[in-house]
Amino acid sequence: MALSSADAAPPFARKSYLISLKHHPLAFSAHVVLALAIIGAILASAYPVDPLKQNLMSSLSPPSFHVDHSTGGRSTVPAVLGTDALGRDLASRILVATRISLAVSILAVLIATIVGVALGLIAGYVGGALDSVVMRIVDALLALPFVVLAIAVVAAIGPGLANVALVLGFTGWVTFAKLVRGEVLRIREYSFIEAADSIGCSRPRILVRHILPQTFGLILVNATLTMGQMIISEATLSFLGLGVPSPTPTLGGILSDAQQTFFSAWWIVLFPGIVLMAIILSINIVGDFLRDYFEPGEAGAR
Amino acid sequence: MLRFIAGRMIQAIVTILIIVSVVFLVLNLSGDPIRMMISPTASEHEVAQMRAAFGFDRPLGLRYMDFLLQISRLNFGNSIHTQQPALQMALQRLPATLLLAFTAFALATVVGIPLGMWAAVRRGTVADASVSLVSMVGQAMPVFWIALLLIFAFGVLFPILPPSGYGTLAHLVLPSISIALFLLAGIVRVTRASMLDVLSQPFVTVVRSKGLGGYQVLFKHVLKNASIPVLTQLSLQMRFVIGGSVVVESVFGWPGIGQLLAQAAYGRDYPAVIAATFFIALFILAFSMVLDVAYGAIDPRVRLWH
Repeated sequence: MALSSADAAPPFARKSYLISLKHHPLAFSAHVVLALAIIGAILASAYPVDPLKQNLMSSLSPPSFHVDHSTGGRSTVPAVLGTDALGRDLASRILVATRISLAVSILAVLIATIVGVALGLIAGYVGGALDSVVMRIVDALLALPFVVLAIAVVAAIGPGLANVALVLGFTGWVTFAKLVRGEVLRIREYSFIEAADSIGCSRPRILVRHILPQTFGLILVNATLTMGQMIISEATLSFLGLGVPSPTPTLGGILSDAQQTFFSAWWIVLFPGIVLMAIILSINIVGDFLRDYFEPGEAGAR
Repeated sequence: MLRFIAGRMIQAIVTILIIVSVVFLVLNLSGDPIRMMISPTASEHEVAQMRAAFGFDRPLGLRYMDFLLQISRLNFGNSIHTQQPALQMALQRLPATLLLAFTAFALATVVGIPLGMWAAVRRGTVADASVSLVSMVGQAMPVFWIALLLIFAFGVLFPILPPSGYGTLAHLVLPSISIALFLLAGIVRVTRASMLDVLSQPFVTVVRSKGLGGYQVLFKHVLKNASIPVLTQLSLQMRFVIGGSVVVESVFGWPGIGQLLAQAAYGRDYPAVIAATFFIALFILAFSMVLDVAYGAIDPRVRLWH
């Protein structure tokens, strides 16, 4: 198998990603779980049961592999994960909720990355008063728990799918700005930057063409780890009723509703949480793997 | 040291100022709060009247100056829903949050540090791997799900603890364990890494070769030297304790400031949101400052002042 080379030339020979992955069974399984979650999310609407269709006859039926004809349901698919209080199929709801969760957090990570990287690059390269102002804001926002900040901002702009993505994105940029700024300060001292400067490259060109590519690995690692945090935060906001409003199924929302039927329906508490945990765990493992891949020297340092 | 404390206080004030300003600006730029408070059928005249009553008819810059002046006098205005002063609402709820936060914090520390030490000493064994695995899984569990599982286990399956409420010691158990479990992972990780770091240093071999027993070396020499990164980590953990308690308080009906924040955000009660955010930030900053000063006083090496 030919080694595919990365597009940005690394300072040392790096093993191909897939080959590295072969030696890490844990990271490999994490990739598989994530791939399954993404496929499930994409194909969610192909699931034959409508996640919103209520059927009070089959309210709170436990997980089963048999089609229950007695309740008058016309469905031909068994409720493998059971149903909720309104008789809606839990498996179908979880699939759609996973799609929402992934969509919101990917969007949020994109916003956070773009805002954070841009501010970090500019602050690090321009320096001076701008740098101090940006870093003061970063430190101030980092002092507060992420959830608290997100809740305070949601209070302002209100719940909703796009709003949640915006809130998480615009509160999550700080770690990107801090990391990228640090990298810029380090990289700008290298002689290749001086060389680029001396042959007449403009400042924006140096920033975008010479400094930015060097930070890609770091940005990717941070984006992955932030993604896990975004999923938790989206679920938390939805759980508190501040996220994507019902009837749209969200993992946090399903778990919040589960509190009403705590004493009779364990499956509604268990399954969405397991899905949530599996996705976050996989993302964290993939993030750790990426860090080791891009910065072998700093393995395990956090 | 006094200069250090003064410097930190100024830093904290700037930080709180920025946080409060960000929240104020987002609240004011993102829409018309009056429209959200008033019924949609209200006439233009009524809207204008209400706007004037709340002072929203004046330019943003002026309102911002007023806002800062009021905040500096700890005047957050009245809650839109209860008409109570927001300051009073936040202060009433502070003790419950402090109780929960410190209990969870103590619990996580008391369990997490020995676990991390144990994993470090048994490095590479099944014990180490399982501690790492458990802490990794723990970090991936949203705190509200931990809370729900605990309620399910100890409130429903084996009903030995109250599933929600506030008042007795029994009520404190489940909420504080929820937050502690969530914190544990970080503490275990740092303790383990820092213990391993110290264990590999030559002086450990020296004291061992002098004939000192395992536990004496571990507690008297290694832990003492490994404690600095652990303590610095702990001073940053309060952020996560409070972040967790916002959620946990809502699950358990714990009448703390986190529940106030969530409820106020749900009801768009801006004065209460700002007051709650203010006190959460104040508490976190004060906590980390006190801890930093305390370490510095005990151990000159971690002194942040000269």
